[in-house]
Amino acid sequence: MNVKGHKAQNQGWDDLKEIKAPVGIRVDCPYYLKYGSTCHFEGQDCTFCFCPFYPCMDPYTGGMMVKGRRSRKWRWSCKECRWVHEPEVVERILKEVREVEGGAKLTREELLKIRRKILGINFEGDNHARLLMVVGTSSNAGKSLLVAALCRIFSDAGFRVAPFKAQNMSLNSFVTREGAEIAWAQTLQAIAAKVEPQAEMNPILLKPKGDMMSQVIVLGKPYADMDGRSYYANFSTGKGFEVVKKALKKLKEEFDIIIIEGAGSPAEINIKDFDISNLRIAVEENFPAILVADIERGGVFAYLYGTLLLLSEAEKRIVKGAVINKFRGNPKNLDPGIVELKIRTRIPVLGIIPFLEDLQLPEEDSVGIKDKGTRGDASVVIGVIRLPRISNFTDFDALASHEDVYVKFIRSPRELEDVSLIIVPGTKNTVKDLLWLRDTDLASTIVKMAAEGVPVIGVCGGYQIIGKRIVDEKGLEGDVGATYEGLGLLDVVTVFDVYDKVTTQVKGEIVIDGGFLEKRRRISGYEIHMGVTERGKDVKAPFNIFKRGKDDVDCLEGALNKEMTVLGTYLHGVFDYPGLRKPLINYLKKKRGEKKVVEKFDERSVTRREVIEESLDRLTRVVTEKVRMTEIFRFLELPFVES
Amino acid sequence: MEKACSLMFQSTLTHSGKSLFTAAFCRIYSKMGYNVAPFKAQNLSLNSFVTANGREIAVAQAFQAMACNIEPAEMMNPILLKPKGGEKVQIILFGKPYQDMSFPDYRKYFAIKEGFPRIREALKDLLNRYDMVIIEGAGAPSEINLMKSDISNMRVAQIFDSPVLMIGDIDPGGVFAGLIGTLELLRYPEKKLIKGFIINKFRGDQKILEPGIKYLEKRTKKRVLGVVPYIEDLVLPAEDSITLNITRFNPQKRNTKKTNSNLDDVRKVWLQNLDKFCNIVGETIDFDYVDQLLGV
Repeated sequence: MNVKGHKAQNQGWDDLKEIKAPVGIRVDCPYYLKYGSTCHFEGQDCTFCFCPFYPCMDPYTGGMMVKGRRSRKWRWSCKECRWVHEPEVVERILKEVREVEGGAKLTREELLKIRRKILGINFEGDNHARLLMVVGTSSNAGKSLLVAALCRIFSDAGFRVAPFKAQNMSLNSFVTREGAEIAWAQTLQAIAAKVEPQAEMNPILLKPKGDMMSQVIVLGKPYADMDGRSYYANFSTGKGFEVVKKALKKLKEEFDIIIIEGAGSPAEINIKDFDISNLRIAVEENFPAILVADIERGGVFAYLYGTLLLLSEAEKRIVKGAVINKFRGNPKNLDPGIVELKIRTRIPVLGIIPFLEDLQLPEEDSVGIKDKGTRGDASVVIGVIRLPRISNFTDFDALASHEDVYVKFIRSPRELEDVSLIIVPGTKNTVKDLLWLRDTDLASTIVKMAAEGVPVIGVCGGYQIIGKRIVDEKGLEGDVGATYEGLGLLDVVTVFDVYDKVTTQVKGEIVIDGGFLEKRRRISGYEIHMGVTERGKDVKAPFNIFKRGKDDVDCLEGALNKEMTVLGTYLHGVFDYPGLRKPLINYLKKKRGEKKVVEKFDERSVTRREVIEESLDRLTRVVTEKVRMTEIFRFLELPFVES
Repeated sequence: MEKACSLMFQSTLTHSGKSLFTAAFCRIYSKMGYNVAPFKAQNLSLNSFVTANGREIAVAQAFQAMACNIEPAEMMNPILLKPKGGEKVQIILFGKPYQDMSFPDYRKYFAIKEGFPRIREALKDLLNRYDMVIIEGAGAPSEINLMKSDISNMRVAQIFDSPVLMIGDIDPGGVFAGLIGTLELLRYPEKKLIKGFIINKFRGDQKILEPGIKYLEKRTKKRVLGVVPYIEDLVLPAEDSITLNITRFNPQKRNTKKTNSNLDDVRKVWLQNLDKFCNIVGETIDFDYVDQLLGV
C-alpha cells in the first residue's frame, strides 16, 4: 500500500472530467508489478493509478480495516481490490463522470454514487458518510478529547474526517479562514482530523456574557443575545435544529466519517425537550453513539447506569457502548462493575482510558482553568488576571510550554506579588470585568506595579481595559450607556458604537525594536471583538498587519507605551508563534538577572501547533491501544480483520 | 437499644460537599443546643490533625468537631488511611498507626473482618455520649466493583438504621442520572434508608431545574430537600490532594510548623466561612423534614 515516492499517491482527483480516454497499461511506471507495490495484476488499466474512490468503505470489492504491524495504526486497505484497474470499469467510470452535471470537482457523495451505480449496489438510503456520536455522562468527561482522538485515528486510516458539535457553550473560540467564529474544541478536533476548520463543524456557539445572557453565534456569525429561557423556548428546537441539520448535511457531502460530540449530559431531564445537541439527531438519522464517563471523582457506574435509565427506548437503542475515562490504578479492579453494568444494561465497556498527565491541549471552558508550567525557584511567573468572564484563556498555554515559565491565574492582589509579567486577558464583557477589577483592588495594584516597571500586556478585552477610556454610550457592554475610565496604562480610547463584531485571521510583523519586542519578527493571530480602539499620541503601534482574512492590507495594530513596558493588542493566539513569545520570555529572564541566557531565537522553533500535535499523537496512541476499535468499526459497519 | 439519633450524608461523587454539609449540620444543631458529634468511618487523606491526647484523625473531622464546639477525638474517625504511593497505604486505627498494607489486601483481609467491628464500636460510643451524630460517607456508595468491601457508606448507615441524605453535585452536569443511577445500584434494604436528595453547587436559574426535580421525586418517591447554590471562595480545609478550588489552603503550607495563634486565626476564618454556608443551607434546605428524620 505504502509506496514511497509514488507520484500519484494522495494527489486527489480534481480534474476527473478532463480525462478523455483510458491510458491502458503503463509498463514504464517504475512501480508496475514491483513487489509490494500497489499495482495488482498483469494487464491492468493504469488510468486511475490512485483510486478516486479511496476510501470507499464498502466491503464488496475487498477493502477492509487492517492494523499495521509496525505502526500499530489502523488503516483502510485495498489489498484485495482490483476493481478500479479493470479496463471495462475504467471506461464505465469515465462515462459516468462525464454525465454528472456541475463543475470539474465531484463531491464525495457524487463519486461514491457513481461507484455504487457501476457495481449495481442499491445502498440503503444511499448514505455514504458514516456518523458516530460521543456523548458524556457529565461535562468535562473527556468527550472532546475522545472525539479528537477518533478523528485522528480515522484520518490516519485514510478517511476524510470531520468533527461536529451542534451547539457549544464556550468562551474559547477560534476564527476560521473564512472569518467564522467556532469553538476551540472543534478547531482542535479539525486539527486532529487534518482538515481545515469550518463554520459547519460548530453551527451554534453560545458565549455566556454574564447575568444568564449568552451571545448566540450561528454558523460563525453573531445572531442575537438571548437568555437561557428564551433560547430554549424560541430558538433551539426550531430554527436552531434546522441550522444544525443543514450544517451536518453539508459535512456529509464532503466527508467520509463524521465524529459528533454531544454537549453536557444527554440525561438532563429538565431540559430534555429542548436539547438539540445530544442524541436527538442521532435518533433521527439512526447512527450509533458511545457514552463516555469520567471516573476521576468516582460514581462512574451510577452515572453510566443512571444516564442509560433516563434515556428513551429509541435513544437507548443507538447507544452501543461505554468508555471509562481518566482512570488511575489497575483496570482489573473495575471488572466486577463492568460485568454488572453489562448484565443490567447490555452495554459493553469498550475501553478504559488512563488518566493522561500533562496533555498540552486547550481546555474547553473555564471549569478547566488551571495554572500551568513548571514552578521552580528560578522560574519566571506570568500572572494572568482571572477575570470572571475570561475568554480565550488558552492563548497563554504557549507561554507555559517554555522551561521555567509558570503561568498562574490571579484573583486577588496578594497573588500578584512574585509576578514578572501581568497579562489582562480577553473577556466577554469588558465593562463588567473592568468594574470587577476595581472592586477587587486588582486595578490599583496593576497600575502601581506597571509604574514600577513590571510589564503589562492586554489582549483583546484586556487591551480595552488597560486603555484610557471606554465609551459605551448605547449600553452595548454595560447595562446603561456610559463612559468608563480604564486603567490608563495606554493612551487609547475604545468606542462601542454598533452591534458588530470583527472576526478575522491576521498576519503581520513587529515594527518596533526595544523592550520585549524585536523588529521584523513575524506574528499571526486572530481577532474576535466588538468596539474600535483609537491610539492617542502617547502610544505607538507595535504591529504592522499585511493580511486580514484573504485580503492583503497594510495597517497598524495594537499599542505600546513610550517606556515600552505596556502592550495592548487585539490578536488572540499571538503567543502561539515564536515571533513575539520568545523575545518576551528572553526579556523576562534577563530582567530577573538570569545569567544562563537564554533560549536562542529560532523562527522554526516549536510553535504551539507542534506542542498540540505531540499531545494529540500521545492521546491517539493511548486510545488506539485501550479502546476496542474493532467494536467501533462494527458500529460503523466498516469491515475489518483482527490482527 | 433505643433508636439512635443520627443522620448520614452520602454523595454520588467525591467532592460533592459531604464534609461541608456534615460540618454545617453539626454547627446548626449544636447551636440549637444539642450535643452533636461528627463521624466518618474511614477517611482516605493525607491531611491529618492531632487531637489533645495525641491521636491522629482526618482534618475534615477535626474541623467538624470544631464546628460542634467540642474537642476532636479519635472516635470520630476510627480509620484513617494515608496513601504512601504505589498501592501501599498506612492504616491509622483509633488515631494510632496500625499497619501498612496494600489496597487489595486492605480490602480483602482488613476491611470487613477487622475494620468494621471497630467502626461499629466507635459509632456506638459516640451515640452513647452525644445526643446526635452526623455521619459522613466516603466517595460514592455505588461503586459496584468495590461494594463488597465498602465499610464507610451503606454498611455504616445500616448499623443503627441512620437516615441517609444523598448529595448530588450538579456542577459537572448529569446530576439526575447520578442520583437515579446511585439509587438503582443499591440493594433493597439500603435503598430504603435513603430519605432524600440534596442538589449542590447549582448556578443559574432554578426554574429551569424544576421539571427535572419533579420527575426525580416522582420516579424515586423520595424528596429533594433543597437546591444549594454554588458558592465561590469558601475558604475551608482541603480534604485531599485533588483540590478543586484554587483559593483553598495549600496543604503543604499548613503542614509546616505554625504558632498556635496562627492556627486559631485560621480556625476563625474557617468557622466564619462555615457560618456563611450554614445561613445558605438554612435558607435552602427543608429543615422541618430533617427534624422529622432525626426525630427531634
